Amino acid sequence: MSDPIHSYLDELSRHLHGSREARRRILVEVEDHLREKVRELGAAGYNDADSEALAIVHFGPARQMGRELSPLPECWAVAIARAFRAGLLAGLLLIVLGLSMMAAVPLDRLFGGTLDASAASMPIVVEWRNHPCALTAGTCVVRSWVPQSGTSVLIVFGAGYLAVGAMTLLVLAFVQRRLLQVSTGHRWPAALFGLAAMLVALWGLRTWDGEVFLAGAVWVPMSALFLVVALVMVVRRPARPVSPA
Amino acid sequence: MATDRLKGNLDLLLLAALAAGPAHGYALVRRLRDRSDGVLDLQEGTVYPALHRLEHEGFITSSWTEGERRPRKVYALSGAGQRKLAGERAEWDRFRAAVGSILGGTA
Repeated sequence: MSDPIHSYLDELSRHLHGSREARRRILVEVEDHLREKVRELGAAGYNDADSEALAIVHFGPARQMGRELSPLPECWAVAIARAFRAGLLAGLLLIVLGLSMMAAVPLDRLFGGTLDASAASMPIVVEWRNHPCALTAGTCVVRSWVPQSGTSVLIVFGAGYLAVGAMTLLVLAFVQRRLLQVSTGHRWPAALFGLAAMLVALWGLRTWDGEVFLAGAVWVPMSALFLVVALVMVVRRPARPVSPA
Repeated sequence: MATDRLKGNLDLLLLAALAAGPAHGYALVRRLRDRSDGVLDLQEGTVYPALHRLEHEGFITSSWTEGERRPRKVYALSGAGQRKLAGERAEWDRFRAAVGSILGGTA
């Protein structure tokens, strides 16, 4: 049989908005209040069930108290939640778009179609500013790894959309953990950050004269950052829920 | 009616209750109830937003202590809170005297 105080705290927790630490402190304080009240009512002759029910009634409805006790004003929480949903949709759309672009080429080959990717020759300009290039009459010929046309551009850009979509979801997951009230205690955000690190690294992979290397300017630090965040999230234990008395 | 008046003066009452010494939230609720002979019996959860606001404004301080069974947040009046309480008390006395004189005059 579930503890009514714990059930009340769970419900209150769902209506609290703010950082995980602030919410936890509030829940600990409320639990202390309720347990003290139960103890007093028990001393006055009430049985356990009645004491717990009365303590909860005297404290106030969880929804109302959550609204009043929230460290983050409700209007902000609502605005963040809406922005979160919009961002989530955008991230998912980017991922779907990226996957569909990446799948287009193998599906085309699988079914023997005639994919005309020339339409995909988007205005891509890949500049190699920090890497060796062939000199022709004193002019540095900037070679582009990304073909200006052809089916492989679909894969490259598909991977790009996928990476951006995944990064969007990761940023949202981080914001949600910090500002909104989703104390999952699971490790999935760490896994997502690890996945993002790999995607970003893959996106930054370049070939030059048959050698594969990681283009350094942006992708290496970004990939390293995601990897560090993933490791920190794995090492750091999630906050424990409010413990029973 | 008592509840409405209580809400309007909750900050002052909490400061006054804390003037008797540091206390945790439930002890403050009990103080308010006992010192008013049960007249001021408010919804207990409502003291916490007021306490947090007073703490944020610097009128009270808080610290966590190890209670018998769990951590406990204890509030105390700060110097600014003592000055605010003194000012609010003086204002309340003036208000009470003014209302009393009017009500007494019509009685």
